[in-house]
Parts: sequence; C-alpha cells; structure tokens
Amino acid sequence: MRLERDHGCRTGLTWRCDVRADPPMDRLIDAFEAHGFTLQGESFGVVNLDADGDRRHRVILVPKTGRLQLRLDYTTPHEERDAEAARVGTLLARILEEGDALPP
Amino acid sequence: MLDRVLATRSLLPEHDLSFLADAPVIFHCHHFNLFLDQTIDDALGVEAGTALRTRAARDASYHLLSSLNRKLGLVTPAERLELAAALFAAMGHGRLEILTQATGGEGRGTWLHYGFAWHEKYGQAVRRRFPADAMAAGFMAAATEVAYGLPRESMQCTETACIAMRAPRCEFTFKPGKAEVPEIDVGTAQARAVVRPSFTGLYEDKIAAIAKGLRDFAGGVAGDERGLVQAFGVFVTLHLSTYYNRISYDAWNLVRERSPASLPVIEALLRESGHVCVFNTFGGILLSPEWEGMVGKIQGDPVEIVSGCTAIGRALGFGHWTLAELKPGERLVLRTPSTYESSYWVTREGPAQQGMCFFVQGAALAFMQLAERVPWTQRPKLTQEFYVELFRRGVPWSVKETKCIAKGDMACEVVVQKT
Amino acid sequence: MSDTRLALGSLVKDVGGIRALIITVMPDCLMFDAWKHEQEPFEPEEVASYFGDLIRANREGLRALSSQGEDMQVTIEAGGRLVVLRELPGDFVAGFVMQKDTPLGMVRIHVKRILERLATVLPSFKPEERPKGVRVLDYLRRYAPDPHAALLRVSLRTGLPMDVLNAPEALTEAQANVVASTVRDILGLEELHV
Ligand SMILES: [Zn+2]
Repeated sequence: MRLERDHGCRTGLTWRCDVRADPPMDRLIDAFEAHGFTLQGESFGVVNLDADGDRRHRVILVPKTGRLQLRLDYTTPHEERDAEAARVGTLLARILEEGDALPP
Repeated sequence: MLDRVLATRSLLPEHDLSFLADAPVIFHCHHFNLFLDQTIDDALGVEAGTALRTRAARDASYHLLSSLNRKLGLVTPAERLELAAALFAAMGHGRLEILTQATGGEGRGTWLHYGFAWHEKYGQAVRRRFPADAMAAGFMAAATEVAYGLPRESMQCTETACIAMRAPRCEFTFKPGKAEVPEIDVGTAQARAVVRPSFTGLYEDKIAAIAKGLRDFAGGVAGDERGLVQAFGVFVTLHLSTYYNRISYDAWNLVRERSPASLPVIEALLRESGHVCVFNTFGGILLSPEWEGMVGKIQGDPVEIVSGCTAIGRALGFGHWTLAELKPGERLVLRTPSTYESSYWVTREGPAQQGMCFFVQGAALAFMQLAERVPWTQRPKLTQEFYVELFRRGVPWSVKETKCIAKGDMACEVVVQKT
Repeated sequence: MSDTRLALGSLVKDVGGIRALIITVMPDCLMFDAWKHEQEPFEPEEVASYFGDLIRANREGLRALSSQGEDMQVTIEAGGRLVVLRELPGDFVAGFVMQKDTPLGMVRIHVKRILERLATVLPSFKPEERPKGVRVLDYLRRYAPDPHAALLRVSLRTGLPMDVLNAPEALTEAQANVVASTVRDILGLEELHV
C-alpha cells in the first residue's frame, strides 16, 4: 500500500491510497476501530472515520470505488505533515490488511 | 441554540439563493475571501480598504444578528453576545470572545478564518504588515450594537494584533463613535423583487439532482470545535453576500470616481477572485472523495465538468445557474435568473449601465479552464503552481456578461468564447 | 546540448551526478547559458534568476555580518539535490545542481575544475544593466504569491495603466520608483534589492 499526496486546498494535508473496491465493510470498520479510529458516519456514499488523539486525522473511504483519503488535522504544522502522513500510513497499511481491504 | 438558528435558514428554491434569518448567505472558500479582500486593499490602500471591509462586515452582520435575535426572541446582552460568538464559529469563521459593553471594550479571536487562512496560504512567502480580520472586527462591532441596543453603524473596531502578522491570537478594541446612516438591507424580500422568472437549461435533470445532493450534504456541515468548516477537503465559510457585494461595489464606485482609467483593472481583479474560487473550490469538490461517493468518479468529459460546476454553484447559493449553450472546446453560455450580485446591485445602487456580476464572469471562465485544461483522469493536483502555470501559458478564453439583471435584462448571461 | 554559448555540455561531460549547470549574469539575474540533464523538467531561465537572487541575498547577509569574502560559496542540500553557487569574474554566477548522493569531495573537485575552465571562456564585457522598472517587475514576477495577477495589482495600486506596465523599459524614473515601492508593499519587504 502506498500513500501519495492527494489534491487538497492546503499543502500536505490530504493523502490518498487505493483499497479494494467494495471491501468487506464490517470487517474493515472493526479493524479501524481496533486501531483507535471512531466511525463518524456513513452517508452520501462515503464512510468517515476519525483517529483518536490530540490531532483528529480523518479517513474518508469511498467503498464503491476503493478510494481512501487521509485528511490530516489542519493544526499539523507544515514541517511535520509528511512525517505524520507516513506514520499514519504505516498504521493504515496494517488496518487495511487486517480488514482484508488491500487492493488485489 | 444552533438548531434554532439553523431553522431560520430559507431558500428561494427556483433561484438558488439562501438566507439565514433574513440575511443572504453563500458558501465561499478562503481563496476567494483572501483574494477579494486583497483587491479592495489594492484599490483603496490598506487603511481605507480595512476601514471599508470593517464597515461592510458590520453592516452585513447587523442585518443577520438583529433579524436572528428578533426571530429567536433573545433579550439580554449576554445571551445575544453568546449567540453571536457561537454563530460565527458555526459559520466557519473561527472562535471569538466578545468582551464588550455599550461603552466599547475588547475582543479576541483564535483560528479566525481570514488570518489563519492567509497565514497558511501566503505566510511563508510574504510578511504581512497589517491585520487580516476585518470580518471578525465588523461582526463583533455589530454584535455589540445589537446586544446593547446601540445605534446601528456606530461601534468602531480596530484589530490590534493578528495571527496573519504572526501574533499568537487576534485582538480587537472597540469604542462607540458617530453612527453612519444605514443602507437598506438586502434581504429575502429585496432578493425576491429582483430575481427574474426562473427557467431551466441543458442537462437540467442531472444538474438539479446533483445540486440537491450537495445542498443536503452542505446542510449538515458546521464549524468544528475551532470554528472552522472543512467540507470536501476545502475550508469554507458560510458568509454574508452583502459583505462581498458592498466591498466590491463601493470600491468599484470609488475607482470610477477617482481614476476611471483603472476601472477595467479592478474589474479584471474582481473577475479573478471568481476564477480563483471556482478553480480551487469547485475543482477541489470535483476531486474530493465525497463527490466520488455521491456522484461518481470524475471521467474528465467537459460536459460532466461544466454541468457539475453549475450544480455546485447552485448548491453554494450563488444563483440558479443554467447552461444555455455548451460547445466543448469552443463556447459556453451560462444564464441565470438570479445572482447574489445583482440582488444587491439593484437594491442598493439602482440600474447599471453594464454587466455587474463580476463573480459569475470569472466563474464561467474558470468552468472552461477546468473543463479543457485539467488532466482529470491523471489524479491532478490543482496546486498554486499548476494554477500559475495555466496563466503563464496564456488564457485562451474571453468572457463577457452579455445580459445582466442589474441593467434591466431578464437574466444574467455570461458568454465564454475560445480566442 | 553541445550548442550552448559556452559549450557547457562538453564541460560537464565527465562529471558524475551533475543534473544541471546554470550561468546567471548579474545584477539582472538573467540566464546567460545553461545545460541540464534531459530528464530535468525545470525551466533554466527561472532557476537562473533565483540563483542570482540567492547570491545577492548572501552578499547582503555577509555585509550585515561585516564579513565579506572574495570567494563566497553557497551550498544548499534539499530534496535529493545538492546545489553549489559560486561567483565568477565579470559578474557571473555559476550554479551547479548535483545529485545529493554525490560525494562532497568529488563535487569540490568538479566545481573547481569547471570554474577554472569557465573563467577562460566567459566573455569579459560588462553586461549592461537593465532599466530599474524592468528589474523591479521581474522581481515581482518571481516572488509575488499570485504572479499571474501581480501586474494588475500594481496597476490598480499605482494607477499606471497596464500598457504602460507592459513596457517597463520605458517607465520614467518617477514611475519606476512608484512601482518599486508598490512592489515592496505587495511583497511585505522593508527594502527591495534589485
Ligand atoms: Zn449580472
């Protein structure tokens, strides 16, 4: 799994990676929750999950197309954003594996 | 409390104009907000520009807060000030502490939209030497007038420290002054009197369906605990269109009086604020996972992009934009029986001699730039560098507002043509 | 690219890890000549101006420190690259863009060798300084946060029409001064060194 910069209106806050289209959602959400994420809601075709902690990073998942976006908390200082994304990215890789959502 | 505030929202559904209490509101991004404020300061100088922006914020906010207090039946100054601060945050403008009496006082702001966004967007490149939060200043002045029943347009406010100037937080001082003569409010009734009979255009079913979905989505969006709104990965504010209109048109009028030769220049910059908004915000919405979930993955077809943008314009409250003509690569005709700009112009300024909807002009131009010049399927990033590069290579489109409600036409019509 | 003015291609032929060599002429920070690896996407003209500005800023900084040296070298390591800037006789600046993993000792040897050879081929004329208006607006284009709108902003602030600003070489001294102070304001600078 590779996290790459996504389009975003502020530099270095949004990142994306691909997951399996139509992943097993129950299992995937369990995996997120097991690693400290909280499900915020599922509506309009997207699933929102927030990371616990001082910084409220958010994951937005489009199950239909297999797109995952990581939105770093906007209070993350510029110079820490790449490292923070890499840190969360490592965690996401584990979650996606446990949730059986890695792309084929 | 906020639920009761939100319950005062209304819509002219066939005209896609939104109101909170009686005040016209629209969603706008920081790109637009910052660029427009900057244009006003370029036109008038920083001092007069800041004064106008503060006055416009006070004017527009008074309308909002007074009609809201009437509707909610709030009586004491404390509850009125508390509502004002909560509302400001819910609209995505940041956190305020309003510590004023009828005799003036102080205010503080954290995470204020203008100052924070300026710092984020420009702070690494430019050192700012004057404060950025006229909106917060004018809003708190109006909140104080409304809370203590003071004469409208009487409270003066100065921002004395600003996060955009690298201060840890924004600080304000207030003192009462001589009341200015208030202008007529541009509310629901005025807008209703200005709009023209509604009509539809090309791809209407698709545009209407997307606009409805987006509006439902936006209806659930409110400021977070810091008072900032992030929707579709874009930082937006629910803003008072009277603020935008007053600063734009007062500046335009002043330029026309003092240096008419500069009129085309300020018009170009007002248009640019629309262009930068659509390019970044509409572009950002199209590229967001929310759009992908709600509408589907972007394929990059010009019809898809332009009709998508038209729907976004409606959902954000800019007016009932329709596509009268679309020839990809050649020509776009955007037509609407309502714009937030013409509602204001007709109400406060009377008949115009020319098209006055500069935002729509810049927006329509950006539709074609987005449709024709962005490699949508290659996961583009609409960065500042990409944006600047588009201009370096020249803009192959011209734009003209051929009809305008402000000059008596039955619609505003903007034609974008390949040059 | 063996057809550059100074035949830079042949100068760098055997230099391992070099990605670009850019010669800037001062004080206008214009590109005089450039060689770059064919896979480098950047525009040498643009980079040349920034290199010139960097040298100037370093000179100013050293002056402020009261420690001016003859052979100033500016070295920058970032983003997988190593950039070495050196002044050359006759108001030229040489900018070496190397891969970051190039051993420093090698870089030093290559830079020294190429500088010696450049010194023999660079023309000795004193380049004519461009008019102030041209330099100021060039600087604005390089540093304005929204360069595409920068000239409109100057026009609105100064009242000078766009067609006047589009021919900056013809600005009068008074106009050029007004433009310079406007540019300084737009960029939030105390002083403008151009
Ligand atoms: Zn119009």
